[in-house]
Amino acid sequence: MRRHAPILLGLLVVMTAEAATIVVGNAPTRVRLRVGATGGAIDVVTFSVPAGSVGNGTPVAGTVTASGVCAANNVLIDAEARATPADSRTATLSADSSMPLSSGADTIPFTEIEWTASGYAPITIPSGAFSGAAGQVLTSFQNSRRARQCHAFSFRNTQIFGAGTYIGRVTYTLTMP
Amino acid sequence: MKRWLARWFPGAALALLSGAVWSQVVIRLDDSASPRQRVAVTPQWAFPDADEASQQLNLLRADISAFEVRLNTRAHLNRDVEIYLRLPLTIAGVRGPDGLRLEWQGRGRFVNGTIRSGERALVYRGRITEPVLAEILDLRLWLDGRQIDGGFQFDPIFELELVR
Repeated sequence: MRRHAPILLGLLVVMTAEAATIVVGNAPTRVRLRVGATGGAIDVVTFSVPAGSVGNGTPVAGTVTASGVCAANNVLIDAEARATPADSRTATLSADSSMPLSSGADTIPFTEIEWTASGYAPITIPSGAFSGAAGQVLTSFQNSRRARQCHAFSFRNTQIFGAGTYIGRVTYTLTMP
Repeated sequence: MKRWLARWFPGAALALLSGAVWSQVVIRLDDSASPRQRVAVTPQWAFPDADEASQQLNLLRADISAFEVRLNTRAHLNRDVEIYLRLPLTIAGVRGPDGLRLEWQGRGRFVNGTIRSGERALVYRGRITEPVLAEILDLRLWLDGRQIDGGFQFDPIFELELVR
């Protein structure tokens, strides 16, 4: 039985030292949202409804001047939220479509516009339609994740509106409280 | 014959084992003479445009330039030694061994290397000729954001083994 004693001595570690300490601070929270192609310009989606098709229920696909990494006439929605540790916080991507498109005194609610999601799998920002509300949730996800999708917009064309050029803006917001 | 083996083999094996274990006596070196005893660093996300599917999305990096260590080697003058750099096995705020990886480059006599929590790597092999062994290291910390709770701290450990 005593033969085991040398092994115990052999494992001796002498702990006599003082040590420098490396202090690692909190990682910064990072939230990033990109809507549309690169550059500072606001992307414009244009719907041209032929005079003979007004309000006939056939959707009208939108066209986009620059689609970037997405297929033609798609708008990139790229949302990313990072924090530590994983799955500790929830990021929410929302859209504000509460202000309708307008042409003088005439308006078209954004509820007439819908979109189809494609481009990246799995689908993280799914197909849908604008609700006309200020805080429509498009998707939510936990950190650290990246939700990225290409959206092709279309005008539902289910109602007759006065002739004119209607302009409006949807604002996307990404938050991670 | 079998009885002879049964009587002597355990003893012989134990002798060999003892010799091997004795060579692993580890001495933690005092680095209290190092100029900076407390180094603070803030990690940054290493890949600004990482894909969701990649590990890069959660990878953080922190660089510490010119981290000077002065190791008290007075007790080992004129001895042939190996010096290792070790990270503690458990670090409060780091959830697992993959949460932290330390990379370094020596500007002088230390060899470059990389280790995770609980690991060690050789930084120096040779004769001790000075009472204080000084070296400047450029450190890079790689953190997996999924495995850290926030800020944390740790002590790099320098261990010495005598070469027989």
